[in-house]
Amino acid sequence: MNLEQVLANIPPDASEAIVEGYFSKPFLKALGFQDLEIVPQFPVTRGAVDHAARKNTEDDIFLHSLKNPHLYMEVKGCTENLSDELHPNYVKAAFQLKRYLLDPQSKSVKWGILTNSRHVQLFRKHNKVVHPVTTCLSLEGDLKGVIKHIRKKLETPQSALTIAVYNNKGGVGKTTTTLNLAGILSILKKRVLVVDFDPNQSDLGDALNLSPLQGELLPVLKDKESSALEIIAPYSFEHPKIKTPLGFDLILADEELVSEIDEAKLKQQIKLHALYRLLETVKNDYDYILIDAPPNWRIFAQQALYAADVVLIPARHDNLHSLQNAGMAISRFIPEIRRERQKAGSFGPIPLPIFMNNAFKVSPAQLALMHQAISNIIKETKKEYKGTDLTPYFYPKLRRGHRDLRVNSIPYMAYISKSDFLHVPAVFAFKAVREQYLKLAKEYFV
Amino acid sequence: MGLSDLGNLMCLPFEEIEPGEPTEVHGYIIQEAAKFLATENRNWVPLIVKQTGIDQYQVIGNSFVYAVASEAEVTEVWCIIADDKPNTELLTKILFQETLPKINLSTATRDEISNALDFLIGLPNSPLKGINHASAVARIDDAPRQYWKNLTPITKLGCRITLGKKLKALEQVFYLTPQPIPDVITDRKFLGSLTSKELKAMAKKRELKGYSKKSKAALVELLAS
Repeated sequence: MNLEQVLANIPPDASEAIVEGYFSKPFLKALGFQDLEIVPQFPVTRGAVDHAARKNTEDDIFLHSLKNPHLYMEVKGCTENLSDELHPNYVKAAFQLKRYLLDPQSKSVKWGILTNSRHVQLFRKHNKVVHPVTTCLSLEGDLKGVIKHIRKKLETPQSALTIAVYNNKGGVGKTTTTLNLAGILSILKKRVLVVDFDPNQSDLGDALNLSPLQGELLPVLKDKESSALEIIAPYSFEHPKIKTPLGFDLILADEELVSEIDEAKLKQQIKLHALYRLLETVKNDYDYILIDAPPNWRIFAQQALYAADVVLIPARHDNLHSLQNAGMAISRFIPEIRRERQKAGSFGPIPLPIFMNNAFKVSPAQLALMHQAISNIIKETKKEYKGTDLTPYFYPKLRRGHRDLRVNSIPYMAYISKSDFLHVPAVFAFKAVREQYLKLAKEYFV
Repeated sequence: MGLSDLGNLMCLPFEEIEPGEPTEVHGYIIQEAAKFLATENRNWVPLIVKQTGIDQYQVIGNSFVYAVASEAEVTEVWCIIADDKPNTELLTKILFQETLPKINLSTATRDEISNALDFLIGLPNSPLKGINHASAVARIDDAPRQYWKNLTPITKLGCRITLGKKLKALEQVFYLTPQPIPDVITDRKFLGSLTSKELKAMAKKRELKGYSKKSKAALVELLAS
């Protein structure tokens, strides 16, 4: 029986066991896995994922060795609603798949699939980040097209995770975060590209004492054929104590785009996906691409978000507007961009939990004030954008029955601003800063 | 139905129950709770006990209820009968938050260490107040802790955790199951944490030449190469 016949025979109210028994294997085979490459009920630290798969090599049969799984598939019954991202069925299933993917046993896993035989969604795992690659695709219409789409994604993986650092409130430390995150990732031996996409300030280049581009960016953004390699410049940090210099690559801001600030004119020339297309050309040359987005909701910020897989949002615990704007980015701007990306067949960016930058020692009274403000923002957002729940973005550690209100944060350190004067990322110059950003990088990415 | 009482909720005469580890809850809470219990006359939250003989039981968890029942001078107490395995007692105490769960620092992940330290630093009157969490986690995670026989090497990491109260605080949550140090070890960080004398003994054991007059840095270099 081919997959179409299998699907036609599965009753509309089929239970999880039926879907698992009849649908899973033919589906995984259609995605290119063979008999000895699929293992049902693959054990992880807590529980077992429905199916794991990996291509066999000459001397390593996955079914025998059970080592280095490549893909996980979690199956649900047909009656569970997986087509609506806000439905409790979907939220629960996606959370479960994410837990399996992030299990310590799952280091080698790159992909996750969620399906109930009516809908399917593909997730990608990049170290600690799990993000959807496709929307919930219906298997009832163009089955062949969907299979082809997913297969193509599986067969052409990209090594880079693209992160936009964004908050449309200024002064929350986007540039500092971008720079130091790039620094710490390069210390961890990751290949990093930093994109300074804020021509009005071009602070990032300034912080490293590099002069901005002079008009090279616009033609590259406009031209479909050009590669990002044309405008990438290396930055390296040398010190007698380290053997191989540290560093990362950069696309600097373009000075001419400041003078040409007429937004309407720019929009006529550069499309929303220009940066996305440009970065596609180098996605296998890097492990991380960090985009420093400007603090507003205009063309550069929109392009930065469009190009991203995930959005890292710094805020300040003592700045109400930065918290409100963080909420706004999650409830309005990111979904807006996502709709555009979905027209082009991919899922689009997801927000990461917000982190508090530059936190001074916070007194309990200030903390209470912040929690009050956040709870207001969460309530307002729920009302205005029906169903959108910001809670997990503000309080990533909160669980049912456990009121854990810890937020991710980087404390205020005089070193950080000092290093601007030295024209070196603070993580390269100061151990205390390095350890703080290591914590951030480990929390989110590595 | 089996003959064993294991897992059952039973109403036992109070005099048959021996206290386990006494609770340290403040007397105010015990006394007021006792008054309340005396009027209600039934502890809906049971004591957890194990059987030690015929008509003999001992508290293994929720000793707070024992103290309250004793203060209220009740004659009967509702109890759950648990088995007498050591792990049952430990888990029961952990679930009642009477004791802290410990993690194995020899093998713990970074996240586990980070969580444990965050907890300790946040305790009221913690001797670890003022310790830089990010630094301590980074340095402990990075250290060759699989070979540590005790927690003292933490004091040499330069993260302001010193012998005495601070290290004692860490012992509340960490334990170690050290690996034997292999004969040939080239981990520079680990070698650096040893004394010159230990390094020389190691060089002798490996039958390396010309180590006797070398400085510590040179010894590390010799052993690591």
